[in-house]
Amino acid sequence: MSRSRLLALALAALAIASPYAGFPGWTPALATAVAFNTLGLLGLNLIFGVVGMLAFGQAAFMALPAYGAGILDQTGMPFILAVAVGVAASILVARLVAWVFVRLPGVYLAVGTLGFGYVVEGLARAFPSISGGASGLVFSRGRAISADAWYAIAIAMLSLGLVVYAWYVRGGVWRRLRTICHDELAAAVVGIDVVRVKATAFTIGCSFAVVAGLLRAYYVGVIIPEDAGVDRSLEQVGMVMVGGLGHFLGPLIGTALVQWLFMITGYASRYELVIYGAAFLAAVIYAREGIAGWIDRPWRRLARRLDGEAPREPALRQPTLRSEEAGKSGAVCLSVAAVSKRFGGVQALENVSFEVSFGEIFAMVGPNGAGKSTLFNIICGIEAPSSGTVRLRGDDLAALPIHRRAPFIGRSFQVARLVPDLTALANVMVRLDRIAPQLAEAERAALALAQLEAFGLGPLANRPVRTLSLGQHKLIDLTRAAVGDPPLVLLDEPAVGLTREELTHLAQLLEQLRARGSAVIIVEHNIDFVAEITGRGIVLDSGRAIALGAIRDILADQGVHEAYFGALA
Amino acid sequence: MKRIATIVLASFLLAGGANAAEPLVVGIITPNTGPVATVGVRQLSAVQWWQHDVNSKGGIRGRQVEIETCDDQANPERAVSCTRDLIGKGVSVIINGSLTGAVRATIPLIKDGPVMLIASPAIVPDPSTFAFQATPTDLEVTRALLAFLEANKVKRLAMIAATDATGEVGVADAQQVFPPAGIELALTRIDLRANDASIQLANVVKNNPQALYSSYSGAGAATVVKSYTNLGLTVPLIVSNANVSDAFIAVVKDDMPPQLRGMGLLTVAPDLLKDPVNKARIEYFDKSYAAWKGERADQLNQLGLLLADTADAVLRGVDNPNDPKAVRSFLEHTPIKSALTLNFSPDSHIGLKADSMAVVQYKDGRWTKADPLK
Amino acid sequence: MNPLTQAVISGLMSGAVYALLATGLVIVFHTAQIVNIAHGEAYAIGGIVAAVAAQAGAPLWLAFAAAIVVAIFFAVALERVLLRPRRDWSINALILVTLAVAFFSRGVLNLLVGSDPVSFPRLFAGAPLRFAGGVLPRQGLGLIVIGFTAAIAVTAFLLYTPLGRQLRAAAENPDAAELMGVDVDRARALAFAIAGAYGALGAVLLVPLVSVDFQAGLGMTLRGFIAAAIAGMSPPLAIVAGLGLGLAEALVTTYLGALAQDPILFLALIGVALWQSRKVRFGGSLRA
Repeated sequence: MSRSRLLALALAALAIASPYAGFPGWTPALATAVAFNTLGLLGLNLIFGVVGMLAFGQAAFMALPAYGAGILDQTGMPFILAVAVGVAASILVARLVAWVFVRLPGVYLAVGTLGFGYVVEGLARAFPSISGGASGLVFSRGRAISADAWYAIAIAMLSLGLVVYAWYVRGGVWRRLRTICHDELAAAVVGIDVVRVKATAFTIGCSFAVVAGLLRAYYVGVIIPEDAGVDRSLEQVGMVMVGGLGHFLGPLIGTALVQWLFMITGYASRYELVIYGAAFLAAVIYAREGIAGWIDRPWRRLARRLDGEAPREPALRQPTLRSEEAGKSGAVCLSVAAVSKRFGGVQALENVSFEVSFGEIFAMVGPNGAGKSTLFNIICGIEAPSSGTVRLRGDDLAALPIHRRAPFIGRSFQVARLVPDLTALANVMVRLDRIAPQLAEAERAALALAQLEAFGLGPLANRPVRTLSLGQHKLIDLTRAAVGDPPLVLLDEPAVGLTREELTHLAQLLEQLRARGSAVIIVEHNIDFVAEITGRGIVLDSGRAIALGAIRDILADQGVHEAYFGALA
Repeated sequence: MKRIATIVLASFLLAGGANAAEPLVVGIITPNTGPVATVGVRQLSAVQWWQHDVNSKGGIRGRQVEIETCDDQANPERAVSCTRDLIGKGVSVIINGSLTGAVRATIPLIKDGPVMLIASPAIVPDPSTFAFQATPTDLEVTRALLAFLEANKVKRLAMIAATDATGEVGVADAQQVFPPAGIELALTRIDLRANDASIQLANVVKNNPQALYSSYSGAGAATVVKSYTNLGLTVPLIVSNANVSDAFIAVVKDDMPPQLRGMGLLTVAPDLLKDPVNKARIEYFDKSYAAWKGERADQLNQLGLLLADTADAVLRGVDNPNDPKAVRSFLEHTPIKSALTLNFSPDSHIGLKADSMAVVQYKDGRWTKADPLK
Repeated sequence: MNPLTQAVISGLMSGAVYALLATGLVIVFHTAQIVNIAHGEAYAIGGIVAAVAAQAGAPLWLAFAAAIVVAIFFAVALERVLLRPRRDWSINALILVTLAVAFFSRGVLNLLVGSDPVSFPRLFAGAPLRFAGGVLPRQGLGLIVIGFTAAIAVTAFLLYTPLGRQLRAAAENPDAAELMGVDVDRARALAFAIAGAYGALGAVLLVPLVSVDFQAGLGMTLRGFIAAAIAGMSPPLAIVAGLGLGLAEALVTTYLGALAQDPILFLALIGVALWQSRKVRFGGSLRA
C-alpha cells in the first residue's frame, strides 16, 4: 500500500475516533447524525455535484422509505419485509420520478423536485391516521440499540456508502457524468444516452438517500412531515455546496462542518444566526470549490511527495477498431436527399441533396448563415429535417437518436465543446467509452493517447483541458471526433485558430482518415486549405445548394464567386 | 472566523476547567432558530433569568447552577443529538421546551433518566417514564375554554387550527370536548406557510358563530387576527395561550378585534391566583425579570419559569439530583409551589389541569380576567 | 358570505404578491442569469425597516421611503460587492453566494428585531369594501392595483424600452452586449435596484395585512421562484403565473381545505413544469 493511502487511512481512523476526544460540540451523537446525513448526501452529491442536476427532493427521498417501512410495520407485516418493501417501493418511486423529471432541464427539474418534496410533506400531513400526521410517526425498534452501537452502525454504513460511491463514480462513468454535466448536447454527440444516464444517476443518488433516510428514522425514532420538506432539502444542498460539489469528501466535510457550526454557535445564543450566516458566506466566497476543493490540491501535492512519481504504465498495443466497419473506398457513405428545414418562418435549408463516398474529403462552403451548421445538426440528429432523408450506407437515419449515431458519425464543433475539468485524454476517451465498450479501460486510454499524439498533443494528455489554449481545445475536439475511425467524420471549421504547424498535423490526420476509408466532411472558410485537401464539395447560399462537384470546378464557378467570395470582397 | 475561534476556545476552557465545588447542571433544549424560534427563545430566557437569580443568591446548597443549552430547531434529529449530549454531560434534569415531534423523539432516550420536564401541550407522558409535563395539555386547555363558553351560553363555535402538530391535536381535542357538551363546532385549518386566513375564516363564520377560537400558536397567529380584521369580522375572537403576550399585541395593535380574548395561564393575570405563595412568586418573577431583561415577561416566559422552578425544587429537595429514580419519586410526591402549583402523581405526570387556566383579555396595557362575551 | 367571491379576492391579493416577487426574480435572472435566493431578503428588510421606523415614531411615508431605500441599497450592494467581482464564477457558485447572503441577512435581522413578528399601520385604512358576498380590505385593493401595475410596468420596460432591451442583452451575451455599447455593470446594478425596490414595495403593501419576521425572506423567494419558474422565467408570463398560482391556491383551500393545498398545488406545478419544458432540450434555460 502506498504511503499516501496509509496516511489517508490513519486520518480516517482519527476522524472516526474524534467525537470521543471531547472537542466542544463534536459528540458521538452529532457524529452519528452527521454520518447518516452524509450517507444520504452522497446521493445528492452525485445528482447535483457530479451530474449538475439541481434537485430539491433529497429530503423527500430520505423520508419516503421511513414512512413506507414504518407504516407497513404498524400493519403487523414482518419487520424485515416491511423494510424491504419500504426500500424497494421508494427506489421504484425514485425511478419513476427520474423517468419523468430528468427530461426537465435546469430550472424545471428544480421546480419539479421541489414540488415532489411538497407533495410528500403534504401527504404525510394530510393522513394522520396512516402517517402519524404532523405529530410524527414513531419508530420504536431502534431504541434497544445503544448510542455507541448506533455510532458504529453509522460509521460502517457510511464507509460502505463511500466505497459504493467511489466504485460507481470512476473511469468511464465519471467521464460520462461530467460530460453530461458540462454539455448535454456534446455528450449526446459523443454517444451518451443522456436521458438514460441521467435517470440512472438520479435513481442511484436517490437510493443513497433511501437507505440513509431509513437508518436515520430508526436512529432518531420519529419522522415528521417537515423531514421531507423543502427547507431540509435546501439545507442539504447548502451543506453539499459548502463541502465541495462533486468532490468525494464534499458531503462529509460539508455536513460535519455545518451541523457542528450549528451546535457550536448555540453557545453564542443571540448571535448564533449571524455567526452561522457569516461563516457560510465566508466559506462560499473564500473556498469556492467548497472545503474539499480547497484541500484537494495540497493533498495531491503531499501525496506525490510521499509516494514519488507514479511509474509510467507500459505502452499497450493499440487495438484497431474497424476495417470491417469501413465501406469499400468509393462506395456511397452518406446520402442527403432533398433535405429541407424551416425554423418558424425562416427557410434554413431548401431541397439540398448530395452524396459523399468512403475515402473522400468533402468540403461544405458558403457564407455565414447559409445553413451549413444546420445541415451538420441534421446529419448527426440534433435537428430533424422538415422533409427529405439522410442515409448512411443506405440506412435511413431518421429514427436514430443522436447518441445512437455516434458510432458511425464523429463530429467536431465550431467552438470546441470539451469538459474543462477533465483531462485531454479523458475528453477523448469519453467517446471511445461509448463506441468501443468491448475494449478494456487501458486499451481505450492507449488508443486515445495515440490519436492525441498524432496531433502532437501527447505531452498534454493528462492536463485538465481548462489549462490548455483554445487552439489546443480545437485539436482535442478534432481528435475526439476522429477517434475510433468512424465511417463519417463531420468537422466544423477545423482550421480556424490553428498555427501553421497544427494545420499540417490536421491535413495529415484528414489524409490518414481518408486513407483508412472514412468519409470526411469539413465546413471551412480557409479556401487554400480546402483546395489543398478536399476532392469535391458543395456550396450553400441561403439554404440552397448553388454548386456541387469537384472542388476545382466550384472554385472557378462565377456564381459561387458572386455569392460567396463576392460577399467577402 | 476569528469570533468562532474565540468561542470554540472559550467553551473548550470552560469545559476543561471544572472547579472544586461542582456546579449543579441543568440541560435545556429549545428551538432558538427556525419557524418556532419565539417559543424556544422565550422559555430559554426565563430559565437563564432563574440561573442568574439563583446564583446571585449564592446558588443551591452552596453550589452554583449551570445551564447547558442546546438549540434543536424543533428538528427531531437535532433534538436527539441534544438529548444524548446532555445525558453524556451528566445533567441532573433536562428541560425540553421543544415541539411535539422533537419531544417525542427524545422521550425514549431517557428510559434510564434523567428526568425530563416538557412543555409540549400535545404530549401526555406515560407515568412510567421519566418525562413530566409542566404545561396544561391541549385537552385541559380545551376544557378550560369549554367552561368559559358554557358560562357565556355559547352554542356555536368556529375554530381555526394550523396544519401542524398542535393544530392536529387541537382539532382532535375540540371534537372530543365540544359536541358532547352541545356546542356546534365549525372547523377549518390553515397552512403554516399561508399569509392569509380570510378564506378559512369566511368559511367558518358562515353560520354566525358566537365565538371564534384560533388555536394557532406559531408566529403566524398574527395572520389570523389580521385576516379577521381584513374581513371586517366582529365575532368575539379567542386566541390560544401562546399568543397571550405583549409581542402579539404589538403585532396586531393596528388591527385590534373589538372583542379579543386569550387562553391564559392564571399567571398572566396574578389577581386570579388564590394561593399567596403562587402570587408572590409570579409578582417577584415579573418584576425581577423585567429589570433583568429590560422587557415585560409574557406567558411563554412564565412557562419557562414553571419549568425552571420545577428543576429548582428538584435540586433543592433531592439529596442526589443525579439519581433519576429519586427525582421521579420526589416529583410524584411533592407539589411544586411555583407561580402555579404543579401536582404530579405516580398515576399522572401532568402537573397542571384546566383550573390553572382562564380566559383573559387585554385591558389598559395588561391581561385581566375576561369580561363576559357580548 | 360567498366562498367563491372570497376565494377570488384572496387569490388576487396573493397573486399580486407572487407577481411582484416573481418579476423581481425574473429581471435579475434576465440580466445576471442567476436565481437570486436573497431576493426575498429585500422583502424582509423592507418590512422590518418600515416596522422599526414606524415604531420609532416616523411618519408612515418616511418609514416606507426608508424601507425602499434600504432594500435598494441592500440589493445593489449584493450585486456590487459580492457578485460583480465574481462574474467569472459558475452560475451555481453565484447562486450559493446569494443563499449565503440570505442566511447572513436573516441573522442580522434576528439581532435587530428578535424572533417575534412585527408590523406597521396600513397605508389604506378604513372599513373594508363589501361586494358580491366577499370582503376586500382597502389595503388589499391597494395591494392588487399597485402590485399588478408595478409588475406590468417593469415587464413593459424590459420588453419595449431600449434600456430594457439592453438589460436583457446583458444577460444573453454579456461580451456581445459590451461590444454593442451596453454598460453591463450598470444594467445589472439597475436590475438589482429594481428587484430590491419591488421586494420592499411588496413588504410595504403586504406586511400590514400579515406581519413579517426575521426569517420571512427565504419563504418569499420560494413563492416568487415558483411563479417565475412556472413561467419559464419569461417576464410577461411571470405575472400570469403569479395570478394563476394565487387563484389556484385560494380555490383549493376554499373547496378542499388547507391540508389538500400542498399535494394538489404542487402536483399541478409538476404538470405545468412538464408541459412548459416539453420542447426544451439539452440543459434548458439555466445553461443553454
